[in-house]
Amino acid sequence: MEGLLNGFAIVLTPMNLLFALAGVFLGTLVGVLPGIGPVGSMALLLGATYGLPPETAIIMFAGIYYGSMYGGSTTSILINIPGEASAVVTAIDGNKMAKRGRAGAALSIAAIGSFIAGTIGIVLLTFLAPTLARFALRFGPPEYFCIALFGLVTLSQISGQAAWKSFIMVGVGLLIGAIGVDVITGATRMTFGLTPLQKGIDFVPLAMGFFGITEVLEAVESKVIQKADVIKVRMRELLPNREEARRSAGPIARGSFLGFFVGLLPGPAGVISTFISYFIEKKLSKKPEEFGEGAIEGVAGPESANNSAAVGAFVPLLSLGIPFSPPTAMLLTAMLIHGITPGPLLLSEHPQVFWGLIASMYIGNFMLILLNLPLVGLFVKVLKTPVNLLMPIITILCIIGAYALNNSVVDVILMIIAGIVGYGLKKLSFSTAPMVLALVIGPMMENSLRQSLLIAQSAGFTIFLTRPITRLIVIVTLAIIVAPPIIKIINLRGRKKHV
Amino acid sequence: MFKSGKLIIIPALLLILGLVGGCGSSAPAPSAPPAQSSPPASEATVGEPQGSEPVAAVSNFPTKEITLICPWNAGASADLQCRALAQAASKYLPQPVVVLNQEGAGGILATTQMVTTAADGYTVALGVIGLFTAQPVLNPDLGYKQEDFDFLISTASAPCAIMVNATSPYQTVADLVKDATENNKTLTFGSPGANSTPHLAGEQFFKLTGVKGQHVPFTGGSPTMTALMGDQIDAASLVISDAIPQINAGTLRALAVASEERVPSLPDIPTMKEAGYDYVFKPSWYLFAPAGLPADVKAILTDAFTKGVEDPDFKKAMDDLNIAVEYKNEADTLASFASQKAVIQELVDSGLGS
Repeated sequence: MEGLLNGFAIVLTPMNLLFALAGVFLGTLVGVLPGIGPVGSMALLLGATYGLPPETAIIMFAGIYYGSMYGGSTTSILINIPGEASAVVTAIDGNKMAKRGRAGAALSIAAIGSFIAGTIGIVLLTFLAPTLARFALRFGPPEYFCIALFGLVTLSQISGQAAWKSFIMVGVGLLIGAIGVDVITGATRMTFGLTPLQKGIDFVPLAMGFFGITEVLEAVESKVIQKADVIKVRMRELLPNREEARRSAGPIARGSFLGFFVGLLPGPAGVISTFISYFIEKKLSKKPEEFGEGAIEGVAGPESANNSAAVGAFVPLLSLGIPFSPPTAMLLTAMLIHGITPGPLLLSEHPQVFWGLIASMYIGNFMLILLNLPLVGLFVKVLKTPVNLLMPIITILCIIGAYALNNSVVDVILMIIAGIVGYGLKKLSFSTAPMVLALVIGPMMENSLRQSLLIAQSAGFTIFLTRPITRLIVIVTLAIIVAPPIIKIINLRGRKKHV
Repeated sequence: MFKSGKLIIIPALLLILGLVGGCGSSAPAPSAPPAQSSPPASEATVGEPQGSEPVAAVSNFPTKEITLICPWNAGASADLQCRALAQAASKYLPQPVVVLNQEGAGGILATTQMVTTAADGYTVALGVIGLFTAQPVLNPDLGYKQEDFDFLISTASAPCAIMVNATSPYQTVADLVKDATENNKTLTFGSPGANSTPHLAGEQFFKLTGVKGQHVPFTGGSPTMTALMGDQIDAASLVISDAIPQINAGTLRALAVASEERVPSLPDIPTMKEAGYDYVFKPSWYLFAPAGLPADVKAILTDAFTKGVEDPDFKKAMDDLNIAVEYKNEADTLASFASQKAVIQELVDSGLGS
């Protein structure tokens, strides 16, 4: 507690406050921009921070990271372009809400949910970091595989389309995820001799194509959309109404805790937390049919989950000195170039950095909500931009974003191809969200399965039944598959008795 | 409510930021359309001076900025090395050296793209030893050969090490070998990736010690260390620079390092030779360019980068990364490739991971 108070003393200097504000502001901006994410912007700023005191630089970098989680939902909701994988699920219902004129409510709930989830995450981080880090180490490849499998099962149920269509999309996504150099053997797969494919297909250009470019193509085709999109927005419409606020409370609370714990795990765990949250909310909802048509729970839950997952990712970084995701790897780099090594010794060697960072996250979160709620009004006006101006801007932003990803034209080409394919799929009423999400978790699932079997040696698949955590997840996964038909039968019988 | 004038600010801001983001890391703006038309080549040579400027006026080389290709993502330890080196070498050139990240497939992607890049000295890349040792032996689809390039100098190195969890009963290599042999154990060992230099170093260790090893590849040093710390695997073969923070924190233990001499910052860790197994596996980094650099251009580049490697600022940056500065000239660099490649060829011929 004393440490935390000292941390606040460190943050509450004009310079550190200024850099925290700069960090979260920049984070919000890069979060809003599709393609340009926190990793790229941190990399650009690395060299510029040499002259700063370490805690100041790290406070700013952390601000960029969690700030970007706030901004990520904005383009998802407004123009159906998820800037990052963790905002794909938000687009499903968020964009439908925007089309119904509830963009302001969706953005506000996303910001409020992010704030609450972020704060809950930081409290958990403050008091439980070392314990949780030891817990996270108990997760190895077998556990990762079971979580990915669980994610896959929930994934096939989120999009609201016919199950067979979801399965096809998930299958295609998994196949696309297998392109490139195989992690286990080092062999190249499905590259057709094209060197650029050796690194695999990145999620971002595909998502920008399937969502952004497809949206643009549809707008070009449709003449009505111009009228439909000019929505009059009044101030009171920017805020969620009482009904929406009531419906969001539960999803935000559940998403906060779910996201934090899933966020302790490596790889695309934060992304998985968003669709597990969506799945849970859909199952708990009294009106599951509204999901996919603009249910506010579908924004509140996942948006909270991805924010607390971002905070959860600080646990392994600060306690173990190990980054589990690209943005935390950048944070590690930022610390290293200032001569600070995160890990078990961080707290004793550099308490001012550890506590300064944690305290700055409390304050940064406040700054973000103060920054983001007023911006909602501004962002919603983007929808008033005439389509003939908005669509070219979106196209240019997508192209810049895709190029900036790897300084490579290949990603731009991929994005355009994905846009055209996505347009065709939309005509056939396929939802592409399960495909891009399967692409994200596919490599994690495949690699962890094969790593598990290598570790298991002669034990083979029984490794998944002999470890307590995997056993639990396997049982829950089976229950999800088996329970709905059983519940249906029970319900049918119950109804018959009443009749 | 907001004034309508503010409306324009958002897209404008977004655009500006987008442009900054796009160009900041890709310094030479790709304005000129590529001259060659074969698709991979044109994509490869982003921002290259596509023969539009004749390379005739070499005497006053360089007349514009030099691009240092970093085949790893921004923020990776090799990227930090690139940036430190670019900064240091810029002091000794009339034009700045700028870093361009072209990540993918452990550097194979950028290296393949270098084949079709103009050999005018305006594009240089940082490479890691595996690109010209392990890859040619193990990867039949490789799109480049060593003859496609000119090599300038070696910059730095860090040896591989066999690591265990700090709670492991193995204090020394001998402990590990004794326990595994007596109890006929197969030990699982992690590495940062299949066919990576640390993977092959691990294979060499198990081959020489006669212990049965089961390789488990991960995707980079951090996931490997996580698995080792969580006792998911028995041992790991890692580049020592990645592991030094964990060694200092007391969470992981290095049994021995595969270098000729002990690592200065870890004086207590024996070399493999001292532990009784005489082999060296030492990832090193070097600079290379497309083959056919004009002699004077090559001399200017070699001179500037040599001074850069000797610069105290570069040394300081490498110290922070736990990597040793190790200068080698072109001939010694190629010799180190040859000896390492021979070891790997022999290892593969004797049956890898069998």
